[in-house]
Amino acid sequence: MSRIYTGSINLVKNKIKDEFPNKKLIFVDNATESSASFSIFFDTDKIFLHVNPNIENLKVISSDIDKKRGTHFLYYEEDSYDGRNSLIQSIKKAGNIFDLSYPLYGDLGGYKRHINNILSKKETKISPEAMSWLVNNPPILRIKSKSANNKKEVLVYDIDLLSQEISKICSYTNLINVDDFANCLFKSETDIFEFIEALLDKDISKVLEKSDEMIEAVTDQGLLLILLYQLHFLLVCQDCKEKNIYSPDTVLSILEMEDVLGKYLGEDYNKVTYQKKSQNPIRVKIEIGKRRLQSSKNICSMIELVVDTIIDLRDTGNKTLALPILFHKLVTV
Amino acid sequence: MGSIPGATTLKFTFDKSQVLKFLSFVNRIEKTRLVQKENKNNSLIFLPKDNNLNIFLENGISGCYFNLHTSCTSDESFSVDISTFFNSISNFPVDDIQFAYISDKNSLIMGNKKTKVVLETSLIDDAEKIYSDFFTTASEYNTLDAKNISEAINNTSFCTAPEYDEFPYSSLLLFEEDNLFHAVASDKHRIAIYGQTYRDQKSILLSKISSDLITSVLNFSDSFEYTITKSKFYIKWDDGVFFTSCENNTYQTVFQNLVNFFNDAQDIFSVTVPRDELQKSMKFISSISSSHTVNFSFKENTLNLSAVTSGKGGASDKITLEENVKDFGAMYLSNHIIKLLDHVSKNVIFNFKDYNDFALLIVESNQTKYLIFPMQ
Repeated sequence: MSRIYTGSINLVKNKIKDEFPNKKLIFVDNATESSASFSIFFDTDKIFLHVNPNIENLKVISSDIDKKRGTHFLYYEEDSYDGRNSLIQSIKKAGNIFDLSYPLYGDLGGYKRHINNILSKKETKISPEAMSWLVNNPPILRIKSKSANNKKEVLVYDIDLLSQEISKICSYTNLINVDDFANCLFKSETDIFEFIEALLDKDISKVLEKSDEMIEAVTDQGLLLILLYQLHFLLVCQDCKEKNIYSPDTVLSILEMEDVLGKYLGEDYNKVTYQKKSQNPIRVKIEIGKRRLQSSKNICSMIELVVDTIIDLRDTGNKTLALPILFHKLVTV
Repeated sequence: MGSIPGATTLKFTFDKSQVLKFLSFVNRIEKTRLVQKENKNNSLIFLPKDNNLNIFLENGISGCYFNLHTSCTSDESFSVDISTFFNSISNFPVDDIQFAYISDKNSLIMGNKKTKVVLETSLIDDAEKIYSDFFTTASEYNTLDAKNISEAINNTSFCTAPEYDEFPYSSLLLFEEDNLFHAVASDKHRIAIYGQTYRDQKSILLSKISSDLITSVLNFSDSFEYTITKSKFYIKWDDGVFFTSCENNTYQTVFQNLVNFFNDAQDIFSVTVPRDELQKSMKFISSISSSHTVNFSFKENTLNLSAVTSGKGGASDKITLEENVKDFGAMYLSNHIIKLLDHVSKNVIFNFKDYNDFALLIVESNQTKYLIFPMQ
């Protein structure tokens, strides 16, 4: 019988491997291609895990299941499968839906349990300092979740990324320390915020120190574009604060341009299609509560400086000169 | 060249008919590049050494270096976009082309008194280091039997699955025994084993693209040397070096088990089939019926081939055999049979064997054993 799995792909992979140790797990992106290459001589002992299959793929999978061509499981990153589909309905009826979601941000108990599970599988220990570092610097993922017929975004702990990083560390040590996470992937996001905080705190030595790491990670143009994006975020938040708008929901709706998007018809009097650029509500809350040295006018000047540097660099500018000059200018605003 | 104005730093001339095959090959390597860099670098690097022009290109997986045996006026390296360069050269109206690389303007001017092409170039900081990183190895080279490796690849690589299909069925396993290369490939619907049976000999896994590049390289000279080191297969000859990366070879058991189908199957019957006649019939039937499969139906001394597509109709053809055989029927993928017939000798023996009530078709030709699985 077929199954549906949702949540973390690593957790799903481990669960299937534990339950069916003698079967080979095959990840399938395109059910049509996989079905065409199916061979009864080679594929009967395999489990085909279809990743986020669409309606067309579900038709092919359903037909393969009817013809007894292999074992087929479905995996959805989010619980976004279409419950009206006959195959999904039959799986639902048989109670074969397995939810292996990531723990919600804030569910520290669940997060720590996952860390311990990963570590026990790798037969590795972690120092208390490293554990507390992981709790304070968790890898976070934003996913869409169904709730009361609505899709909303939720923040969860990215267990897959964490598992990858721990696997890398386990390849050379049996005891994980804080230093081992120095080059981990989820540290880069924190670094961007640290860099911007240093910039706003006018701490030029820290800015120059962090900028090298940042350029290495995201390139000079990448750093400037991220900086621009973050300055725009700060500008909107600062402008709201100056206008005495302190409600996080209102600030969030202004940031996401809810008041403008979808309000007007297009040139042909048709509804304009658009994609909402979601913001992290927790960041908005934190930013609203913060007191900044810079006014919205100052932040505007900072944006102008960054834009000028982007133009210079794309023309004939030299990044070894333009970037330090920019950072020095930014801390003086 | 006096007609070309500007601060010329490097000049050379070549006959395009002599170098086009090299440029075509490096252009092919570039086209197999998996990842395009964000700021696309000019990929073909010109590396003059002692006033002698060399070119090389690597795409992260494969690369090739050629000594063009063309003299040039100085030793300054630069690079151009291979696709534009190859297009310009191949479409150039005459064979003799003069080149002038002007470093001040980052441009390569090519042409004659009548026609001129200007291409943008990039400066290369340390071309010699890039060359030595990719094309030199401390490992010892051995003599390569070009005919053997070419046959091993040609006879088996067509049986690999398409690139998107399940790994390692999309790849070809090469192994060495008695100083010769042997190969195994399967796409789960057919198997090809060239030479010896693979047990657990030292082996490498190559993608179809890499193996095709190897067979093309073997046209550039008469004698070659090879070495396999750091997951790369290097081939060296007088005027060049080629390398291609091997794939993750941890699936030896998959290729080891393929021989079981040959060993475990029980004889049904064997019959000599006229290759050309069968090929003609197969092509006719598959083109008319547009069906993927073809039915083989044997009765006395007749082989009846037929294919039907529901709602469209069908086609059939009869081939008279030299001997009487038992009544027998099986269905195979027509494309697989057509491809197989391209690789076998004129009067080929078709061995039909039983494997758990499935009729396998086994053919041996040119040191290669082929197996085609039935469709039902």
